[in-house]
Amino acid sequence: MVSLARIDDRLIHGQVVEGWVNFLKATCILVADDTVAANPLQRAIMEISVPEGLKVVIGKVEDICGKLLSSSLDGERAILLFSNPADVLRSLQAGLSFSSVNLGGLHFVPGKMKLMDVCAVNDADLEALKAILRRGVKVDVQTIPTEKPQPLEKVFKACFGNEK
Amino acid sequence: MTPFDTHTITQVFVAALIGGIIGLDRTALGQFMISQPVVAGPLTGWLLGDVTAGLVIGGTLELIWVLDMPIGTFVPADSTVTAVAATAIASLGSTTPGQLPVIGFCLLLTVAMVPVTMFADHLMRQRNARIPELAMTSSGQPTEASVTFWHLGGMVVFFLKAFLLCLVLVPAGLALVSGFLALPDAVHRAMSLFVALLPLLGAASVARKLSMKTLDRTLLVGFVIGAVSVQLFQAPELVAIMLAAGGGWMGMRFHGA
Amino acid sequence: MAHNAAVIRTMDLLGVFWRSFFIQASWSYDRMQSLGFAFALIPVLRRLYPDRELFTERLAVHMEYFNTQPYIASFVLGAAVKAEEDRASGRNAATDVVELKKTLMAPLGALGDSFFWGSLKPFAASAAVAVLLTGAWWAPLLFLVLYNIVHVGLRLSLVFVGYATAGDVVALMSRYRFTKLARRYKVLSLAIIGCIVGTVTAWGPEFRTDLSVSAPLLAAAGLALTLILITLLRAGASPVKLMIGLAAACLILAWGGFA
Repeated sequence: MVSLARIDDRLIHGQVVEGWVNFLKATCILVADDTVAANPLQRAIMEISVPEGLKVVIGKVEDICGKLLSSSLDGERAILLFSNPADVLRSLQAGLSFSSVNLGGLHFVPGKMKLMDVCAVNDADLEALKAILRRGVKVDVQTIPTEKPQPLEKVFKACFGNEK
Repeated sequence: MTPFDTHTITQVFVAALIGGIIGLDRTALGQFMISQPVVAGPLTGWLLGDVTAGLVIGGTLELIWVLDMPIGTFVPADSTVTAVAATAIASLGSTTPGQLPVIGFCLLLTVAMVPVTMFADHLMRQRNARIPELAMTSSGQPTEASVTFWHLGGMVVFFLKAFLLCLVLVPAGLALVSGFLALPDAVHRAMSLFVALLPLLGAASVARKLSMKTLDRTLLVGFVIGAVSVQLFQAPELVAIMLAAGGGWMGMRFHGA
Repeated sequence: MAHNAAVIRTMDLLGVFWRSFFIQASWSYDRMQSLGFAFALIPVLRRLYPDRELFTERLAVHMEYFNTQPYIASFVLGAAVKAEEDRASGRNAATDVVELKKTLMAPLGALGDSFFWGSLKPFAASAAVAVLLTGAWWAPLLFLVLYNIVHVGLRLSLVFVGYATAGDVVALMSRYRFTKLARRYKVLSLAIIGCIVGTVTAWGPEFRTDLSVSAPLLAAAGLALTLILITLLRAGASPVKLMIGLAAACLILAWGGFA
């Protein structure tokens, strides 16, 4: 069972293991990312840097979706991590469904557009986020559980007015 | 209302200076955790002549906020400024050192300080985003001198944030305290009781973050060892603490955690 | 093409260690520790790149976006020193230091946040507050000692380990069992927190209540209140709201003549 689906370009970091894991009593972190899956070094580092007793599964987006759909992860309370909105869209197309997605952080680099302090997007990210919203999935910007979630529609409205 | 005489004004400035300097340790410089309330409170109290107020306020706020962590982009409530300001208000506002009702009232005031500090922090960190650009010289490249200057210059911003916050919060708090002193005795007794209950909120805040269970087994072991050793065996509290820690350690050994 | 024979000396690494205390001096949402990282590397870059243009180029490279737990950043600094040394000497110019930093920062952030912020800090704080509640004035010193022996010691050694292992996290983890240590600190903290509640009857005069109940009953009431507060925190109540609630409860009790 997926307790939280989250977009965060840093994937596993403090906000996830110290913030969300305890809050959701999660037993497992799923990292759905093609780049990390293909990099043995990065996989190894991620696997050993989480607290004891927490399971980490890293794989390509479609592989993780397959695992979730084949119910081989049914006994777990999982946190599912994506590094970008386009991957979420891929997982939706692969058959997963979420009622809401947590947008935890997309860091700023020059050329990106800043929606909020913790969230900067390029054109591809923006299109994917809009497509996710169109599918009726709620997106909330929220770094850690004790922070107040900001609905993405509201953020869009504040940034673009009502054009959408 | 007590008038703000020259002496008080000087003291407020001293308090703000203390806040600014200790505030640096919170993020910008060192992070030796002098900025944690359990150190910042007593230090402020000592410098302003009321160690008891500092110990009580620092010790109480410490556990409540210790696991509100600065992880990644999340900036938590500034427990340093709240501890320093509350201690300064208690030290300067009470009629005698260690006046418990006033200390309790100052602890209650921190409730109003938390959102103010978070807003100030947020604003400052947004502003700081300009610093790396400033560190680029006219040629579009950084130099050793420009990086050093602008990077260390960031500390001035952090100092000013804590300094100015204290400069606003302390006089505001002092005005409220002088009003509080005129309130009936029942309110004063309530605030003394408040001081005695707050450590339990601290204990709850830590336990909630460290364990997924409401009644954690280790917590219970510590409780039983503590209660039995001070009540049945009249053991000194320090011994009880050591025993409880030992008990937790043994539990870990037996369960292989 | 060994165009530069400069070798990193211990003094250079100590310089990086000293500068690591300033790594967050200009922290901001956009760039976080990027400028601090470049600032900390200055002594090393100065040693390796006497050529001004090269120095500037490498300095700019290290101003890229970077953020991790500020103490564990020392390990990445050490690794970056090694990568820069290899690059400058021409031995292994292919090491992409930017890529290395990117790979290390998030997982090490997870590790550092849960070890330093999530385990060591609450452990030192719980021990100090337990002592403080008994009325001992030296509790703050206990906190600083417990915390900084580990903090400063690790910050120093992490620079050297990062340099020696060229940023090998597996080697780091077999040397310091952070996740195991974190678990231990957490268990100890919980036991001490339990003890704080259990010794409620023995707290210093500032924290004593005038409620006329027997000691065992008072301890039981303390535990009950703590568990209620934990439940409320779990249900999403913020500490601020609970403080207001407690103050209100105290007012009612005092007004009713119970306190």
